[in-house]
Amino acid sequence: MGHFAEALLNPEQQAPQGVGREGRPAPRRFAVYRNNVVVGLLEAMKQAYPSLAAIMGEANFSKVARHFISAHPPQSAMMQTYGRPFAEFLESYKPLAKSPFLADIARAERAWLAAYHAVDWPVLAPEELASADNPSELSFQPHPAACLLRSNYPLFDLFNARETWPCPGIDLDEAQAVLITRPELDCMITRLDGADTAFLAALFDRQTLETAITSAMEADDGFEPAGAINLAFATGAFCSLEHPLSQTSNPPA
Amino acid sequence: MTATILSANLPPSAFSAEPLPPRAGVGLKAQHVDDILAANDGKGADIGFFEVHAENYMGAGGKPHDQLRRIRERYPLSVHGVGMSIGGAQPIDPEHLARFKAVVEHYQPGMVSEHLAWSTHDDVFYNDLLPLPYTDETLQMVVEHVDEVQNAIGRQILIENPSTYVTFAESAWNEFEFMKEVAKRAGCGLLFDVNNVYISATNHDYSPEAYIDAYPLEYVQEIHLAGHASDRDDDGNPLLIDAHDRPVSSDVWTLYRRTLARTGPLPSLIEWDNDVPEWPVLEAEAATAGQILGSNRVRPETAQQLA
Repeated sequence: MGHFAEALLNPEQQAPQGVGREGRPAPRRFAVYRNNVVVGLLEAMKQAYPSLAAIMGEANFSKVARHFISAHPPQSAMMQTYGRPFAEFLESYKPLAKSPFLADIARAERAWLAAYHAVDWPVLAPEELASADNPSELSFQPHPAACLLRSNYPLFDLFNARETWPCPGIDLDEAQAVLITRPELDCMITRLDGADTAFLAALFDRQTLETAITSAMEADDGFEPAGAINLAFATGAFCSLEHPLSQTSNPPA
Repeated sequence: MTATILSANLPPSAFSAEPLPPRAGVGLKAQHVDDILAANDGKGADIGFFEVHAENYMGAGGKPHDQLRRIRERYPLSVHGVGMSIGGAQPIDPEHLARFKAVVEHYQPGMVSEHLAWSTHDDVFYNDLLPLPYTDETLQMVVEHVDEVQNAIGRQILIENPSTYVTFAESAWNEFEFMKEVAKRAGCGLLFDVNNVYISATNHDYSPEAYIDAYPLEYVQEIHLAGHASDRDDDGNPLLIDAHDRPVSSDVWTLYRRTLARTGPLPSLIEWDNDVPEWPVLEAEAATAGQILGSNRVRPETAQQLA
């Protein structure tokens, strides 16, 4: 089976000896397996990265994805995890060196997929914070589906574009941060301004509420904590409060 | 980052294993779940059972599990694995087996099945059902792998006959004899895919009727039906592809009747995995299978034994 396996992802390699029809080689027959494997993996990549496939265009995406598949064939039957290192692959892929924003789209789509399959876990209720004694000293446990991504590119716009580049109205010079969450069963992506990003990044980093507010004020002295805290509740970014000196129940890693 | 195994995360299930009825079932697709549950004024579509690929429910949570829970609350379920690499030359992946076990334990399906095929070699998973030569050596391996899976999940599984595009010069066994020997030695059941029989018989130029007549149908507990595509091989011979992308062909329906005439009614699944149509199309395919099943109420061989 070794020769059979090797020839599947290597079009230059001949079909293995002794495999064919009535003892004779049959390249077109072997090609059905080759085609099934490559088409199946390409389909998995397209399902994982629909925004990238749209922005790059189907043919261009398939070409790059084929190179990725050859370099990184799956190592698990859990196809939902397939293609994880695609962002890093795109970053080091020379023909796309002039499109560095593609890797960030891949990161956002991977975070979206991870959120989609994340463990079912309740989000933090506003009442928990309201009834806390010293809220400013508390830190927050990120929800298992939540992911904050900062980009030098307009990541929110690119994630939602779903059309082939160049996309009208998208300014590549604009930096955007996004928050990907799944408060119930549906994933959501939220665009964050600079102060909200600083605030949430500090909380994701397990800083206290007070420190997070200070960070946000440094980013923008017009920062309004109430609005940012409401945003954190509405998106389901966190699942519990952490008191500095006590242990809380954590979702499984 | 390692994959999360679901058993630790899902709340304990309240399902008890419910056998598949000898009726028509359909392979579950996420896009059909709402239509299925809303049909018949919310009582749900009149379908005997649903079958899912175990691998699609190995994530920790979210929509896939929510959908399957809602289906499982109303219908018997069959869990069908496509990634165990039972026919592979290397040991079963213990992590995959643990994930498979977690899905089976949580959803308590009426039937659990896998394929006579391999998909993993060394550390690569090829995401396809690949063929194996039928030799004493591969037979021993398959039996050990089936045994391992059955021991791990604590119940019998069914093994499905493959559709193949090539044969191996080194094969020493007929496929139907190989299947019988696997069932006998491993103590598993068989899942009989009638479309696969038609595809392989056409591709390798033997009679599908003779194959069915020779098949160890006494081990068969479930049937699969699907559509196939047509191509030509290097020499212009017909080459059928197991595409699962269209209705069941009339030749396959005829072979299905021939099979049922020997087995009597068995749970029979419509598989449609590519170019998936709207729910009513699948429901109509299931109804066709249901009509054929309805005309085979008596299990002839059993009836004879009882007489």
